[in-house]
Amino acid sequence: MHTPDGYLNHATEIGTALLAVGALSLSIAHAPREFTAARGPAYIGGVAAAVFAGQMMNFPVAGGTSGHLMGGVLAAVLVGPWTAMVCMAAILTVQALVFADGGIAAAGANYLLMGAVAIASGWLVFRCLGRLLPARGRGVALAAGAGAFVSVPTASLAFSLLHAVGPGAPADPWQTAQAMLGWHLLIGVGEAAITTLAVISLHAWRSGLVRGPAGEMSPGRLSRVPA
Amino acid sequence: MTPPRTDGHLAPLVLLGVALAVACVASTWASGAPDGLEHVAATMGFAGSARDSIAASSPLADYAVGSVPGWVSTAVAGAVGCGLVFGAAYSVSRLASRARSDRAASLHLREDGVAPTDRPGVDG
Repeated sequence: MHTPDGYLNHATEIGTALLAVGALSLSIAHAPREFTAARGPAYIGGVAAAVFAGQMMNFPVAGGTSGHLMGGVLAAVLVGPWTAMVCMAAILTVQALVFADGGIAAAGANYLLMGAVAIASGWLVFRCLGRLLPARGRGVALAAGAGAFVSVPTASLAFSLLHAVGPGAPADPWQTAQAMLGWHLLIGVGEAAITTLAVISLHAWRSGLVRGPAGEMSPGRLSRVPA
Repeated sequence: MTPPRTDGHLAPLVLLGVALAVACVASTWASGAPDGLEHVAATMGFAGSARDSIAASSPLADYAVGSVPGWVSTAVAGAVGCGLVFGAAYSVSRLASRARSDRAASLHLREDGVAPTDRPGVDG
């Protein structure tokens, strides 16, 4: 869902860029609280690289369309939501500047959609479900999958909203939103599957690598208990 | 202030290895079909409003190395991308973490920002 330059009009591109700068500053300020010895800068870099790789892996969806992992919720469950926002900034910046994937004028919009909106909505679902499901292993993975699923259609609706407010070329807002929602519900299934599998695998290997809702779901914290 | 190095570099290295395997090898089989947004833009008639980004002339634009064909090109793009993303996320989080420890030290707080007597053993 990398918005190229021009899908949104200039005013919307500039407005979203300003909001994105604010969101990123807030994230950088809050992220260090989520760091631990086991989940420090090197691990965060590894998570960001893995999400970047996941975003290269387009999987086919119905009708000649493809989708790929967005990975915001996966990163949030592994390293915490603020740190995940920092990871998404690194990923989207490299994609826009080096690979021309997603526009540069539209970089702020992409950050708000795939960073802020996807992570905030997915994190909310993850936190709520985390209270209902068992607080270990599979419970965390299932809650993560549900959050990941929700994050994709939510981000697609947020794009539709931006496009309705400031389109680069006119389109029926209602039909656009419906089409975006329909395709991204399908893509969300892939997002959920990849996220669930990744969290299950990492948790089985070293449970302390999965931060969980507030760090407390990782009884095997590597800084204290050797795995 | 020095973090205990119990696990060290294994987990980051494994993640980086998985990232490289996906970005350089698996992604050569990635679907080339338009993604959800491109598809909707085409059917709703606003695809034409897209402009080439000023990065379109980058030597690695569209995850391909200009003249190098096929999978080699994707593999090189994937490796460069993983390296850059790792470096960017690592550097920013390291700088942010240093800035925070400096501030905490000047306020006589622990590194996690919690006063020593508050909530022992709880972090995050």
